[in-house]
Amino acid sequence: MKGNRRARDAAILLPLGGLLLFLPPYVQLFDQPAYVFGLPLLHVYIFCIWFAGILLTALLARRLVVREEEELGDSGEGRRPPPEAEEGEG
Amino acid sequence: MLSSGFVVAIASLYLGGLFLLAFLSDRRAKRGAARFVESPVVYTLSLAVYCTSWTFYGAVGSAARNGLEFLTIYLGPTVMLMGWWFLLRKLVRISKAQRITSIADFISARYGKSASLSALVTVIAMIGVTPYIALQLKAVAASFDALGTPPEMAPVVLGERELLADTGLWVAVCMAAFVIIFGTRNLGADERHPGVVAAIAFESIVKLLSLGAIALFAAYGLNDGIRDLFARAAEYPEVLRLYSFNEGFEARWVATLFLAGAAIICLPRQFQVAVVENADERHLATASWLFPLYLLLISLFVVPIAIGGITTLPASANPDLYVLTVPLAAGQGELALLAFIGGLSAATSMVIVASIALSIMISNHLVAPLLLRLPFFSEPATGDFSTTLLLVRRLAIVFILTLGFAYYRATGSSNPLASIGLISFAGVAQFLPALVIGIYWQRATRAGALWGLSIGFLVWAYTLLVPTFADAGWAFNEMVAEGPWGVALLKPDALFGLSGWDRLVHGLLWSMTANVIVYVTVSLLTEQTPLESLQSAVFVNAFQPGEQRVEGALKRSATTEDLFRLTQRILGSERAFRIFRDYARAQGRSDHLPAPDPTLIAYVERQLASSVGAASARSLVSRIVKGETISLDAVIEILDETQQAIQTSRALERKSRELEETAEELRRANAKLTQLDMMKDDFLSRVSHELRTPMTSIRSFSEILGDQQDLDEAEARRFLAIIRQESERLTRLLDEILDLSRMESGQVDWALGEVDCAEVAHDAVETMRGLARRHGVDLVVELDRAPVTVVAERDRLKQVFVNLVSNAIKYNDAAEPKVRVELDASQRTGWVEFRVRDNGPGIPPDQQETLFSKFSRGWNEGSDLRAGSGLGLAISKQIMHQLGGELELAETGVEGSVFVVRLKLADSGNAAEDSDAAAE
Repeated sequence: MKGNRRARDAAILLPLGGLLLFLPPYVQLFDQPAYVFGLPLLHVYIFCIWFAGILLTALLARRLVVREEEELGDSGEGRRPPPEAEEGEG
Repeated sequence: MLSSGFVVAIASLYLGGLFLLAFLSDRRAKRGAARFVESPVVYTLSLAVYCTSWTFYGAVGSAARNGLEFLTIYLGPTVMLMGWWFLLRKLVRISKAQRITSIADFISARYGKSASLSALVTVIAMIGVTPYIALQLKAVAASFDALGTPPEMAPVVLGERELLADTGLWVAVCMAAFVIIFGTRNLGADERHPGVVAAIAFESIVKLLSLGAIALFAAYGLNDGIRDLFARAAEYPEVLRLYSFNEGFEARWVATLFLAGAAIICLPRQFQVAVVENADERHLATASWLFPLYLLLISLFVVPIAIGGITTLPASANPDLYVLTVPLAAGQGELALLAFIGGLSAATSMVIVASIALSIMISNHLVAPLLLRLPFFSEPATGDFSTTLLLVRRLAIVFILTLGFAYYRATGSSNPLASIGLISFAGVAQFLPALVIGIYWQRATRAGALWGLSIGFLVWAYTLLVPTFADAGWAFNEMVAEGPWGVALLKPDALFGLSGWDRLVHGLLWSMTANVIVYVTVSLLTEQTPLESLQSAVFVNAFQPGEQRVEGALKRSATTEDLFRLTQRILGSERAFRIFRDYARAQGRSDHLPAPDPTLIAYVERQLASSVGAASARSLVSRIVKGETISLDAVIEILDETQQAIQTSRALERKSRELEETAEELRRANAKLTQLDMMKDDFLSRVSHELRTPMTSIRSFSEILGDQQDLDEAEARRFLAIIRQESERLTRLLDEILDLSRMESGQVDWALGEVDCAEVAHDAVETMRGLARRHGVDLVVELDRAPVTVVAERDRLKQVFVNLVSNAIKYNDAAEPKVRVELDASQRTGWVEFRVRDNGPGIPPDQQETLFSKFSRGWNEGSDLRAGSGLGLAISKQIMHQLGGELELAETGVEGSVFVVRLKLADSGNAAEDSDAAAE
């Protein structure tokens, strides 16, 4: 599934991108004695990136779960492992 | 200022409420009615046990001291949660399938259920986490004291106190009671504690709300909103620290980011709540954004409080207690009390979960393996082991809290909160390579994990723990200042001359480098045992279907009775009964005894592992099973599809090689057949030719006799003689063919008897004298008169000798033809040799092979009239074969050929001895 692929690629790029933006060269860029709406620029940068990351993660998580359930639904398997006693049948 | 009695009363009330909440949740969960505990929000809130009193008090302190560095502690986990799809989900999936009970269990199970590895992880975790528990006790004690002290008197000094008057002691006792009551109620099907989880989630809400309340007070109570707060703060130069980075912050920033990210899975308590207590994999999806949001809010609250502290309190005030002292200084006693409750909940939740996680590890990986080795516990007849295990856990909890308390009493106030926490983080971060690389890299071995972990831990202790002890003035002062034995190159905080770095960065760098390098190198140099490769395949391929097949890889057998008795002993009768009944039902059996197939054994082992850990479960089960071998085929089978492809291609390769060999064989057989066919054709044509020649002459002479009446008597008689001669030749030829074919098919009756070989040879040579003379051949004979007795048929033997000698005479076209006949009998070897040596042309190499086959002489020579029937050598060979002797061409070349006949001497001693003596 194409959409599925995209969601999974995004799932690995998102944390990497987030990490990158939290690393010194980038955070240092915003280490300026400036204020945005009366708030220090550095704080605004970090918290905004942080919040954006959380939003994207939430959207992506929804998608990943939905996709996975669709997939498992197609193959007729339960997402949860089968009840204990049934495990022995294999 | 609040009276300490009032504070104690409120704190007791709060803790009492917590007990009640845990109790009710536990009871509801037993009835299956506590669905709220199994909700993603509660799961997320339980993850927030990450925010301990170190966060609650320490983050503000760190912000006031070091600026924004405190953010990394929350950004690290944020990044890890954002990547939940790859790492956390895999950890949870594996743990559920393998019934993992702790991080030690996980690592040990990955590396072939190694008992030594789980014990090592447990010991490291204990050493790493004890200071962290001490930190919580210290925070509660300090905050309690601060509530009763006017802020002007700060910094609060935790002086020497009576043991019983120490707040830390009472906190420790309370926590021990709580954990023993709710953390060790039963040995569940998995290590989950709904009561504890509910309490932790509740405490997380309390933490957040109380920190939020203080922050709001700092922004809106002390100032007119956020902007006003920042505007006013700009007047204080020390606040500027909060807006920008220190010089050279990068290394420390990256290091703490890494440590915090590692801590969210490597800290035993985080592994417990995030992985072991996880009820549903889907909860991770919610936690992936909700938990970072929680951390974001906490971090947001920190800044106003820190600014409030800097701007309103004297410079001498302890920044670690701003959360309390800011409202206190403003006369907000109730708010300060709320802050105290928040700090208390942060500390207690950490202590509760950490001691549960550690007690499980200690009981399963340190004590149980030892107990199960004792004769008393290894007797199958002894009773329920589960009660013993619970007792061990309770004792372990008391032990851990005693240890934490002792550490807290010993260190006093020597270190700021944050630095102790970070050293702990760096200690448990040593698990990271074995844990994370291990679930992606299948080649990693047990030895690699064991060595990497040990070396990393030792370097951590040397570079981080030793300097801390030196700072506290306990020990190692000289070592830290001068280096061990005065070797400056080995100074703990400037190892190998790497000076000028922050101590944490320095220690982390060396310990992680050593850990990873040793782990990878040893893994590459060592081999996995079959169980290790099985487990590594299961772990690395956790997302691929086919776990059922894995169990078939272990070919084991045991009786159902033994398995049941073992389960009963470890898990208790009731649970054992239920497990076996359900399993039998799933197998479709009506009684309660399932068939003891390998999957049942694997299933029982997993059930036991959920109580005592994978390593102990394995050693228990292996005591009652037989034939525990892993079939390598099965291991290969469960590897991924690439492996299967490799297997298929290998099979194909083998098949094609086999085909090639078969084809080669066929080619050889075909060549032989073709040759045989050709020989047969030659034989037939030779026979018909040989027959036709005498037939033609017989016919033509008889025609002459019949047609011409005027023949004189003498002429007619000559013709008749020729006809008779030719018919005789025909008869002889046919006789020979018949003779040979009868001999070949074994239809000849041999009249064997003792024969004097020397006499036969003489006879044969004498017969040939005439022929030799006619051909002008010099026939030299070297024969002794002494008898040489062999078992043979006289006439047949003579036939062979005659054939060889006559061949040697007839085909010798040398200028001075010579034939030499020798007879040698040797008692030593037990053989007699008859040799015919000529100086003829030799036999061409291409004819040597077919020399003894039928009509071979005639093959390439056309109609050589000298030739006999061409059957002579074939018949001779056949005769010698039947007599148990040999006939071969010993030498051939331009100087002539030598044919040898060998026969075994008859063992009627005397004659042979005589001949031997005569030969000498």
